[in-house]
Amino acid sequence: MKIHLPNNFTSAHRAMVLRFMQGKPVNDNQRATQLEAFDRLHRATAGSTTFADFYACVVEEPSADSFIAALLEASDPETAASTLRQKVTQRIPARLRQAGCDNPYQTPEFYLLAYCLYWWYAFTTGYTFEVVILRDLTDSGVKFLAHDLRKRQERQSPFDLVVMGFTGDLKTSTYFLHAVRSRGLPADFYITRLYRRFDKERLLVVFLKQPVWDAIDGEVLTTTLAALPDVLPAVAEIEHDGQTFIVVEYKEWKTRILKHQHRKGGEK
Amino acid sequence: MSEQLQTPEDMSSEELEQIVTDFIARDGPGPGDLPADTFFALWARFEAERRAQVIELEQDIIAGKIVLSVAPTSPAQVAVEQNAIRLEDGRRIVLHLRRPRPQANSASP
Repeated sequence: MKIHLPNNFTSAHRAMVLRFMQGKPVNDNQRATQLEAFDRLHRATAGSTTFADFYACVVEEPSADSFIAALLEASDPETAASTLRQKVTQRIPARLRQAGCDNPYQTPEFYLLAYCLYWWYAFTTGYTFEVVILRDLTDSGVKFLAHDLRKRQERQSPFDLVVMGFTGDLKTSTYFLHAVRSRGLPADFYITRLYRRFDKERLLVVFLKQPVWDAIDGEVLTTTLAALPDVLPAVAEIEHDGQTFIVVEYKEWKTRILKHQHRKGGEK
Repeated sequence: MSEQLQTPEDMSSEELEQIVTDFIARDGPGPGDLPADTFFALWARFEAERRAQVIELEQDIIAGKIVLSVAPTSPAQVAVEQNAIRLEDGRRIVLHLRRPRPQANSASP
């Protein structure tokens, strides 16, 4: 199988693919290059197929439905996800061989294997996060409409859920940034998860565009993207490249949504 | 070559196989969460880069109809089909050729 890497896939990108596979830490500049590397590999080709199509056909499509069905059945999706994911991960090198990639442990074939592993982790961590949040919203009594994760066509819908008529997306922070790079932020709100560097505590945060906030509003603190880590958990407003985002902790957002929905009699 | 710049090309097939074995054994990169300061710094950077991108399209007229394609030099991806450009929020921009109109009278106001 002839592998062709894009011309703009530089030695810096190659080094960051290796660091990802090795699990080595990266600084902010290196992480930016790493995200860029895996985006650029979408356009690499394996034979007559792009890496993106190869991954979809050889890895995701045969495994996605059963992974998500098992995740939805699990009492603790985050714990279950690791075992479910690894069942597939272990078979990925063999699947590549069956698909005509004779030795995925040599370059440039290694990039196809790294690409498939990277996006399989993106897929599985992303849907695990989504299942956890959707389940929590249900348990909390928040009324929402969501796509049916069991159906591939619905999974590809542009938004993950609708709350009070506003479109929302659920993304781990790494894949939120992939979305920023490739598609921008077309949804009305985003729920993502970060952690504080000094104590590693997880932060669930919601980014809302102004109209969503107007529907549930309150006091905000005007700040900048760079200053936000110091401002959270206060509700903050950022003006970024012509767009206003309100940043609020997930629990606070849920409380405001529930109050609003209670007043409006369960509006979705 | 410094460790920072080491690439897969510098490694043997056996070393790369071991890296993959270790990757699978530790369940890969973890849950995909970033430190808050990194997240906000990269968001600002990527948003600025994305807005600076120019998406170049090429246009052919085939059988009297517009047929668009993304220029091979364009770094950005955009969904193009025949004479339509699909936007990220699902809406489409559709281009139509304007039918020839009679020349305007230059004496008209």
